[in-house]
Amino acid sequence: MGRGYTDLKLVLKFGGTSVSSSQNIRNVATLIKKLSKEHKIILVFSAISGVTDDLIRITNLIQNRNKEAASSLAKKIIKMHTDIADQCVKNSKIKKDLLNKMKSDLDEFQDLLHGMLLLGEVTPRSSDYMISFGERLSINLVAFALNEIDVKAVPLTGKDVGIVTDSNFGGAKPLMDTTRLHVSHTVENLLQKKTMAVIGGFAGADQHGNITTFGRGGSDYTATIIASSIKADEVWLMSDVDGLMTTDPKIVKDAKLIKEVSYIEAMEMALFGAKYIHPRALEPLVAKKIPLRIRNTFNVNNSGTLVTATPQADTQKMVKCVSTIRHTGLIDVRGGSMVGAPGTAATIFSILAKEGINIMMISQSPSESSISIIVKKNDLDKAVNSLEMNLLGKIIKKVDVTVDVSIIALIGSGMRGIAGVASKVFTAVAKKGVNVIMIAQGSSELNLAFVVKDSDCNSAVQALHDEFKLGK
Amino acid sequence: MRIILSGFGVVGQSFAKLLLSRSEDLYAKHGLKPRIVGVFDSNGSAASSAGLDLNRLLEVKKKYGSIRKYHNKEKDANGLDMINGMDAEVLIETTPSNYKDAEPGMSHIVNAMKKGLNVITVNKGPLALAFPSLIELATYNQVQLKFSGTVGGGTPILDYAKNSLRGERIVSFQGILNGTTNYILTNMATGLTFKAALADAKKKGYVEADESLDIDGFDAAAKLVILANWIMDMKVTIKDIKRTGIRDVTTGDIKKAAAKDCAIKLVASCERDLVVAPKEIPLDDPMCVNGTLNAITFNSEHSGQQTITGRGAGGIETASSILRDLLDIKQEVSRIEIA
Ligand SMILES: NC(=O)c1ccc[n+]([C@@H]2O[C@H](COP(=O)([O-])OP(=O)(O)OC[C@H]3O[C@@H](n4cnc5c(N)ncnc54)[C@H](OP(=O)(O)O)[C@@H]3O)[C@@H](O)[C@H]2O)c1
Repeated sequence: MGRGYTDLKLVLKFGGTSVSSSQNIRNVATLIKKLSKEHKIILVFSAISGVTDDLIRITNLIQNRNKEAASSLAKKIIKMHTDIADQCVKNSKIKKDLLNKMKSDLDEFQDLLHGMLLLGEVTPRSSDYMISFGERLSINLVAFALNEIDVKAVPLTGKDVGIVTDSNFGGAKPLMDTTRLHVSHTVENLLQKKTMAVIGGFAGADQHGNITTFGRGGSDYTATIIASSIKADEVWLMSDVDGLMTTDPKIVKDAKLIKEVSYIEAMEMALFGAKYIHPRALEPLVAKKIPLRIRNTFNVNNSGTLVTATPQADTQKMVKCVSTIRHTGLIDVRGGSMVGAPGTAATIFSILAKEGINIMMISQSPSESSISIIVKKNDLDKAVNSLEMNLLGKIIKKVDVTVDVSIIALIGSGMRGIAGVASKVFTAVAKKGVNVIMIAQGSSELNLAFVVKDSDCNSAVQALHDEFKLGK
Repeated sequence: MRIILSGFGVVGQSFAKLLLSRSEDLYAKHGLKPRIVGVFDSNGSAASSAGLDLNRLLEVKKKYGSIRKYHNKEKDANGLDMINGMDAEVLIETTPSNYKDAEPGMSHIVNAMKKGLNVITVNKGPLALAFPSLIELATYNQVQLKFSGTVGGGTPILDYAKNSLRGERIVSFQGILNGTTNYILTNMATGLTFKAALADAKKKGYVEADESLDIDGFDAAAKLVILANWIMDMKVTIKDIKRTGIRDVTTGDIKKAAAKDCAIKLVASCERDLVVAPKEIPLDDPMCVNGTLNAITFNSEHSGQQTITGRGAGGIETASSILRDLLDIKQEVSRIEIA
């Protein structure tokens, strides 16, 4: 791999693409085998691409009493996995073992489906149980494909390996000290037996043994929880990109790979749309100062982006990247003096939270008695409706909507305490004739975020990328 | 207050006796009316939701060796069944300390906390192997986990460091935390060989059924884990302790130390590392106590060195520390109810 050191304890997390065909699985297995000659490897896998979404869809269909559609979607999932299982292993003995293991997991899946269909009811608990199956199935495929090329490996769910969480289904958090105790025990035992742990991401279990999940992107979180529990040397998040980029290469041709960022910078980037990291995934690493690398499964010679506590000085720039969150909706809430009054923002937050709407950005100007809110485009209609239903005519006089806007954020710890960054930014953007609709308030000093019309987004991003010489 | 008592050996029985002798003043002075609703030992259990008759319990145990004969029944619940099935507020865990997997105490404690029971343990095994996890689970389940009998027995070492030195920063500490090995080393200083001293300690009933727990430093290491977590906020388990016992200490070593006006003691220390090992201690060091005594010296940032000495273990001493914990729990529970 062109790296100067060996025999590291590495936690490798692979995403859904790497298990989405028998060929991909075999390729990944070969890569893992090669790495395992130099390092101690612990694996974390996501579900096959799209499977978790399908499982969520099934729970929705059950809730809506659409039995037929739920069953046929489940059949599709079962067939896909059985087909891949059939193809990804050749050795007849190993294939038989794999198919048996798949069958026993799929039987349980079907039992659960039947139970939920009978009740026509989805609780947060049964939902987590259902949507954790994607990883339960994918790890079998990988473990047996590894067995076939003479790598001893066992599939383990988050529960099996010992991840203990609170009982907050759908967005669980690990009880870290308890998890550390159990996970280190399980993994150390396997390492001693020279057996590779192939761990299903995204899920754990609460203290009573009920399966819980971490929410979207939760497999990253699994990887860092495991790494922190066993004091790994590094975590690698393997995906199909080289790492974090200075900006979206589809917008700016000379966008560059970022070599190193700090944990906080990476968290900010996750917040502003760098979709390769779960927002809480870095928490378990920070205390133990375990570095994380984002790297490309298909381009392993590239060392990717390193996320550490202390990035090398020569990689430090004032601004590290220009990120964008495209196609969001802007809601302007206007009213009398009440709008600017304390507590109003809180009321708006809680109304939107009740609808499950995530506020991406907010800005309030008491003098003009207005509040601006950015939400995801999908949430826009629901958000406007709930604000109108609850507040119009009370503390709100008017709700204005701008449909297609983008958030642009500059991120970098070098901006902290440096005067004039904002004026540099807005001058550069103004030169391109771009109108800034809204500026984020009260955000950290590590980012500067503002909103433009989506049609202005590309030229604004290009201008900033040039201004801060990020392509150099 | 309803209590399940896990284990009915030396400590468990001492506690029952203590309750019998103190029941009136506990009620009058502290408003505490402890009812033992369930007890189990290695052979069986006895239960009564109205509270067991402690005199009878002690008699039955003495006469038959197991409390199982308290009721004349065929089927019998095991400890976990009782913890999971019976209503109570507190579990008192007194089964033997086990440093391999901490069972059965670990399961008793974890299941009790899951069910919302407060826990008092004198069993050091679960704390030695999983202190950070058990504290986390207690916090998560909003129950109290008390263990003042695990270190120093009747000598309130944990309380002293945590409460009396409140606001002070303890930088390091070292102590003689195991009475049995101290007794053996003290006797060796009078010329006895290790073997002879061990045999004598056994005869006096000072040595654990599994002698390795004392001799190889497991007991001292477990206490060091508890102190390091509780007082120094370290998150460690027995795996993090560098542990050497006293098997290889010879009379020659002891003579050599004596020539320097020192004695060899099994010392548990928390400085840069966590270590249990035989060490030379000057005879005039206040920590240099003899016989079965324990001693610990705290080095604090502003108040300098302070040493506490006292009897380390003993059934009745340990039982009294359980009672102390029980009163704390009672106080905390009523504080929460008022608030
Ligand atoms: N003695 C002390 O001075 C002292 C001081 C501090 C801490 N401790 C700790 O306190 C604990 C108890 O000490 P002890 O001196 O009372 O010990 P003990 O006399 O040996 O009593 C242990 C009790 O636990 C019961 N037991 C053993 N295995 C069991 C199982 N699997 N299930 C249910 N019950 C089981 C025993 O049952 P049977 O009666 O049927 O054998 C006995 O009643 C130990 O962990 C010890 O380290 C003791």
